[in-house]
Amino acid sequence: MKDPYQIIKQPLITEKSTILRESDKYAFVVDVKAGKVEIRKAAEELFDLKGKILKINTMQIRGKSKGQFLRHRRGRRPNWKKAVITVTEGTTIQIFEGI
Amino acid sequence: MKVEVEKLGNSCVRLRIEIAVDEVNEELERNYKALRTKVSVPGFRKGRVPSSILKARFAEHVKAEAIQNLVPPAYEQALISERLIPLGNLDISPPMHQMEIKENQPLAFEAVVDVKPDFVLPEYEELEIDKSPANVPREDVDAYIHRLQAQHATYTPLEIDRLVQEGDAVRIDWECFVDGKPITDGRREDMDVELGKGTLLPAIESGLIGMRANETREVEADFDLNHQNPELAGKHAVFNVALHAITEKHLPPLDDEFAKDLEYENYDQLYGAIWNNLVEEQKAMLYQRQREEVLQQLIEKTEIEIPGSIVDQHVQQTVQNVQQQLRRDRQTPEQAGIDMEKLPTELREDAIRQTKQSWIFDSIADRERIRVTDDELDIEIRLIAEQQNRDAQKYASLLKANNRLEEFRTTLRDDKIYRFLIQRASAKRSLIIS
Repeated sequence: MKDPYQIIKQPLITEKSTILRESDKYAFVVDVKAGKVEIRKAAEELFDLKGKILKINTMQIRGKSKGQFLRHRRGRRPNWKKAVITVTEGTTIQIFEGI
Repeated sequence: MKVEVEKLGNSCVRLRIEIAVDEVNEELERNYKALRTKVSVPGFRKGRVPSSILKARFAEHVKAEAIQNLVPPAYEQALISERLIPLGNLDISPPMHQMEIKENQPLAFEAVVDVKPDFVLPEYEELEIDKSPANVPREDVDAYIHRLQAQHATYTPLEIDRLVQEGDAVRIDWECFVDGKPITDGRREDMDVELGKGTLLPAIESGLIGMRANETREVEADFDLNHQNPELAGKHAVFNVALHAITEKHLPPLDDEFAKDLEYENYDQLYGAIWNNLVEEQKAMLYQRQREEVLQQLIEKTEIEIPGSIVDQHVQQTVQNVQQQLRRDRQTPEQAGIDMEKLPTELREDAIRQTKQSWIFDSIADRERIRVTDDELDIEIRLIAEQQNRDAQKYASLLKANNRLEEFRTTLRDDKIYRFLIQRASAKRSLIIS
């Protein structure tokens, strides 16, 4: 199995994700190629969540086009994948606490 | 807030201050709130950052801020509630940048500071001053009038042909040359002089003796070494003197006519006015002397231990001021006649005296409720503005701009205190029997 740190890259801390935490949902930035099964395994290992994960939703986020609208000056931000892990009620993920 | 005071000597205290949990929490909360509207954290809109994130990321900053906001006011409040007046040399431990502040815990610190010591004012009646009334004898008034009379004397040329003698009055022209060149402002025409009164340089006066009308002479004279114009002091000069005539001095008669010339209605009024002036002058002088006596005795009779720190501070500041002044004038201390070695010792006594005076006066003002109201200040400012021919409003705003208004108020207050003290002091038994 791949290194779990290669799959789950970092917690996603935004206004929206902070609100989601109230309904036991935690958002992460994950590897674009990772599937839900891989993410579940990696999360179980990293945060000791065996049997506590209810479901995982993933979505691909397309990077924004950046730069001026000139012929050769156009770039993009990288595409990435977001995973929202829903855990059983009352479970916390340490990494989010106190950040 | 809890305060404990421990006295360390007469003019130094240690304050143990504890800021209550509620206050600490409230302050921290307020700071987080204030911070929320300011910081931008990626992923959050401005002002929407949750407290947990702020606390995790900006704790150090917020805590330092909270200490800054809590400690100085707490210290000041402690001084007020304990009725202490700080003089300086403040030492807070632990120092503010090392202080630890935590939620749900009181914040405790110690402050050691020099304060104004307690002292006992002497009874006002213990002060003894000369309270003799102003007394101007008739002779003084007469002498004054005679001087006035002499100033208004007129001179008429005499139609006699003789040589000038000592004690004569003469009408002359003169012009003064130094090194062969006429000096500025160095000539007079048709000047009436009475010889032997010291109006002219002695060499010129003696040169005039033996001259005849319409005669011209060159007189050599040396200027005094202390002459007010430093360019002339000690210089050798040649005076071209021309004698027009020997004159006769006429004193104006002391009558109503004389009084009218001086813009009084009649002679009696003039006499009365002069007498009044002289009495006022003497009163002012007496008052000045009484003030000095009162101050001197107050300082002698009040025991105050003045903390060294403020004396040092004062001395240092004055020395600095002197040095700055010298630099501005581009002078060395020797040129200005200041001994930099001795200066601090001289200033020390001065500082002690001044501090004593200001404390004693503050304390009297406090005890006797002597105050200068804004109205009184206003009236006084108007009076002075009038004397100086200035607009009262402008003068007041000028004072305000220079921060001199309070200084002015203190001067007025001190004057009130002096009057109060002089009134309460007992009269010294006069040695002069009048």
